[in-house]
Amino acid sequence: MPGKTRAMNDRYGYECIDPELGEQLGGLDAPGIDERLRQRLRIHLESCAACRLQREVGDELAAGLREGRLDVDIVAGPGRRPRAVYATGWLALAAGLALLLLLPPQFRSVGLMRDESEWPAIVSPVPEEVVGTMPTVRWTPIKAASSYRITVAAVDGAYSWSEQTAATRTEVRPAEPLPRGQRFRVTVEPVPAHLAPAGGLRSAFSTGRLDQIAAFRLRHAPPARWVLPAAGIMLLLSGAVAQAVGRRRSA
Amino acid sequence: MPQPSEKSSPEAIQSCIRAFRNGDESAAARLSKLLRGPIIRNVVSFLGPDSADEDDLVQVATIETMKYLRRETEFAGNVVNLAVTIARNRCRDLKRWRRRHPQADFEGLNDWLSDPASSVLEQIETRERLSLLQRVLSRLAADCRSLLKALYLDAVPTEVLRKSLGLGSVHAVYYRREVCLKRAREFLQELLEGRSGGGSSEVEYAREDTRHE
Repeated sequence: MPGKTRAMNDRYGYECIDPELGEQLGGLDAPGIDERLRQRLRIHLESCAACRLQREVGDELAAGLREGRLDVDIVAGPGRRPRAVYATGWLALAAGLALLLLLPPQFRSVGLMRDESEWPAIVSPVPEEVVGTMPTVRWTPIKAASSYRITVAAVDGAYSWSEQTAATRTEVRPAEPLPRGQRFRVTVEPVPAHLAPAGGLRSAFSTGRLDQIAAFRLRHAPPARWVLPAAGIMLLLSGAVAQAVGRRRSA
Repeated sequence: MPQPSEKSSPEAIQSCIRAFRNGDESAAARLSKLLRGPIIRNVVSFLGPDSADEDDLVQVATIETMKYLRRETEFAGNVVNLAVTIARNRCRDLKRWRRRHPQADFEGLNDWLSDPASSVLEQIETRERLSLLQRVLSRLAADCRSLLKALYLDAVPTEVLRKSLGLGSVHAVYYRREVCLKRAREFLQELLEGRSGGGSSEVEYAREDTRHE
């Protein structure tokens, strides 16, 4: 063994006093081993602290594993913990997807005003959103409005619902479920009407099934909401790669 | 018979060892003299030049070496390397013992030094030992963990393992196991000693000793 390598190996612990013989230590347990060699190994073991400790470590590992006091993960490579990576990956993916599906789409103003935040608008449902049958209609408050008139009407004219609210409220829900699978127009008119563009604030949405709602939310989620599920997928992939490498090494 | 020295030929040293095994007391004295210098240098490098334990350690290492040579009659390696390795291992024992018993009296140490069966693991509490072994196990390569699991946990017969590993004999399975256990032992000692243990002088002497190989 080159001096430098040996020096580094020796630094942290016992050295075998007779490495040529010490390397055959496993022979002590091997069947059919020459009795003379077995005797030599026994003598060696009595004097060699390194080999004695090695046997003790083996015995302790064997006992610990058999009695379930030690845990061995044969998939993981050194320094890697695919189980933990997998668990974190699944957690991130699940949490990310839950957020994607539960959080409503964000309203994005398409106005040309310099300060769009001051431009009155219906912020929920967002234009063309697919919602449940009890959607909450929200809008930005309009300065000086004394009240608001909200109208939700089916495009085909078969359904209409309206309500007038106090100026302090900026959201309402219909008293009864809207018909499912229909397209609606929603209008919010301030009182007095001239505080908003002619015809009031307008938007359109549809009511649909859960899968349609989910599909809309996934399609229209802002990029930031994809970060968590994407991180989850990356973790799952890296866990799968680590597992494959571990299996290949074990093979 | 001429006095063997560190520069003597391997044949001359082996001849002296043979005479010692045959009961030649003068050969024992010559061997002891041959080993004394290298042992002292290694002990001093470990313990420092002013250690009060130097003489005892030199004596213990010399006696252990002679005992090994007498019993392991087929030993044909480098006797100086054998002696300094025994000495260094005992120095490690002493340093560890000193850390654990900073106030211990000399008699207790002397008794302990003359007992070659003192175990590193026995000195560690069960809970701490398990924690260390778990860390050791986690640091082993996947193939080693797989082998140890198969042998110790799943109790897979060695013949079955031999076939699955594509090895020529069951001895090779045991050889692989020992390689894994050697790594485990080294990891354990790294954990026990800490990265700062040993010191540069130890490294220096390990280099020096390779010259005898």
